[in-house]
Amino acid sequence: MNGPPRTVDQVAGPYANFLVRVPSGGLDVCPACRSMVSGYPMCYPCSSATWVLGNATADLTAFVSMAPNNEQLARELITYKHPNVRDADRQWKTVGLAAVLWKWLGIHERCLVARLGIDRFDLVTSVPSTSGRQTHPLRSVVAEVVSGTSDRHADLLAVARTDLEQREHAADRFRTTRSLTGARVLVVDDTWTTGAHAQSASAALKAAGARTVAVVAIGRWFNPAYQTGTCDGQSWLAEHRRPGWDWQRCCLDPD
Amino acid sequence: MFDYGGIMDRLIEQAALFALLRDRKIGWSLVADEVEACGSALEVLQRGGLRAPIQGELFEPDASTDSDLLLEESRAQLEEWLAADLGLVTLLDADYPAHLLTVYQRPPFLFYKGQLDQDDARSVAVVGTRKPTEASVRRASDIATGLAQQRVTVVSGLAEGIDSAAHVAAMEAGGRTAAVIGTGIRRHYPPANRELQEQIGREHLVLSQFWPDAAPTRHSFPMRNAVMSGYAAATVIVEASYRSGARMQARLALEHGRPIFLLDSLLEHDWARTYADRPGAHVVRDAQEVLSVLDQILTPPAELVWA
Repeated sequence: MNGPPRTVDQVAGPYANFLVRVPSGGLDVCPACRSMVSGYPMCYPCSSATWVLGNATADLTAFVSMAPNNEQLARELITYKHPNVRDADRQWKTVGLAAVLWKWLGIHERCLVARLGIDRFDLVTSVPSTSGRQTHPLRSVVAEVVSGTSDRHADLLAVARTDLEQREHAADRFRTTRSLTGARVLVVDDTWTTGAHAQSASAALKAAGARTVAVVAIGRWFNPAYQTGTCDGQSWLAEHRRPGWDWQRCCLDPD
Repeated sequence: MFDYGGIMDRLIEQAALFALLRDRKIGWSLVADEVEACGSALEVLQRGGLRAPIQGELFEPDASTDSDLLLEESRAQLEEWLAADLGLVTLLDADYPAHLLTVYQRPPFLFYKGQLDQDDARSVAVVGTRKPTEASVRRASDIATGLAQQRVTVVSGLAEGIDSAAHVAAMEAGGRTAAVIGTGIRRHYPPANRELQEQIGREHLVLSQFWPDAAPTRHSFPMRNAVMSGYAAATVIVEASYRSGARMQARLALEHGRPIFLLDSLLEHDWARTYADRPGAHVVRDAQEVLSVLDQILTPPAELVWA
């Protein structure tokens, strides 16, 4: 990376061409993960997080954008960390996602703290990789690139169990690196699929004493081919989609 | 398992990918996703392939297919094609085009004639109508010449009109050109461009995402435009009506997060004025203006700053 410095607005700007609005609410929207739900107050993965983790799940979850698996944001979230991708392309994808996260938090971190009734987050951390990757590029985004988070960043989590399924919630999936009594922690993740990693991270942070935990994921992974009961992903997405992208709006705003 | 080294490894992997793609019930992008996630087409095939998702994302091994037989058939077909002097690159190969790998519509394989070159990362697609005015042909030639002189690969779709003008001008300027075609690599469409296609295939690069003998269809040209957008670092639209493939490529490029360059003469069209307001769109007069933006987009910044 040796090009001249670029601003967050310059780099994040073109992402507006493919970011997808996250619904605020509705009868067919899971209040925790903002995805499709049919006939239940909460979707199955979010309900099972509550069964397994109790009230140690995150106090608030928010997402920058929906990431339908057949659209570009999903591809960005894979290629920024995929070893087959050429260095310069991978670096661009990393800088791009960093700019999106930075810009979004610059506008909407105040929405998170307002909703939680706190005045700020004391610490920001990222979810460690469970795939055995040494340093996850998301860590460098949160700890080094985005100065809105880097001054509060700490490596609070480490992988404790490697025997779990990808989508399994477990309070002991991660362990914390220190006591967090009274801390208000923002957890950043790149992709939310079922929330198993982020919710397990939240549980570990709360077990270490964290008073408040919020999770922000850049992409809410979504499979438009998914069908269940009377719901199908494609029509759900079409119904909640709006033309254009508004940086000023977030999923915590009323519809 | 067998132990294949080097070239043999590549051949078996490619044959396994073909075996997976020949199952018509499964979308190619799903196959691409699965093979990429696993890192080996052979492994996906041997664990029973993947079945159309019935409930959500559940993949169940399909015991009814004989993976060894499928693999043998695919390998025989593949060897026949390779013997006919066709190049083949698949998405797990290190020489798969770098930018193209990062778009969702990346095809699982590309047949090619000529030479692949990872320096094509420094490339710009120049596209436009099949029935251009003389002034537009001149503009396309000027842009392609200016890009080629600065060692930028000129990518286009080998259609009549603007595409042909861009390819020819790049070659006449001593530069490199790549053609992404909307048919199989052994077909020529339109027939009038047969000579041009053969020349580009001998001296530069012709790419096709379709089976080698596939005829053009209503869907193949838009699919080709997605691949062209993905291959190039950016797209220049020279002259295009709303209903043209070039306008569609402008839309696809924006959806890929790639910059588009609209020639100022396009602004007579409503669609172009709308697109000009989108982030990532630039209105330009000449190749020089394209080049000044191109340098910025090819090198990742050393630092990101708030303002």
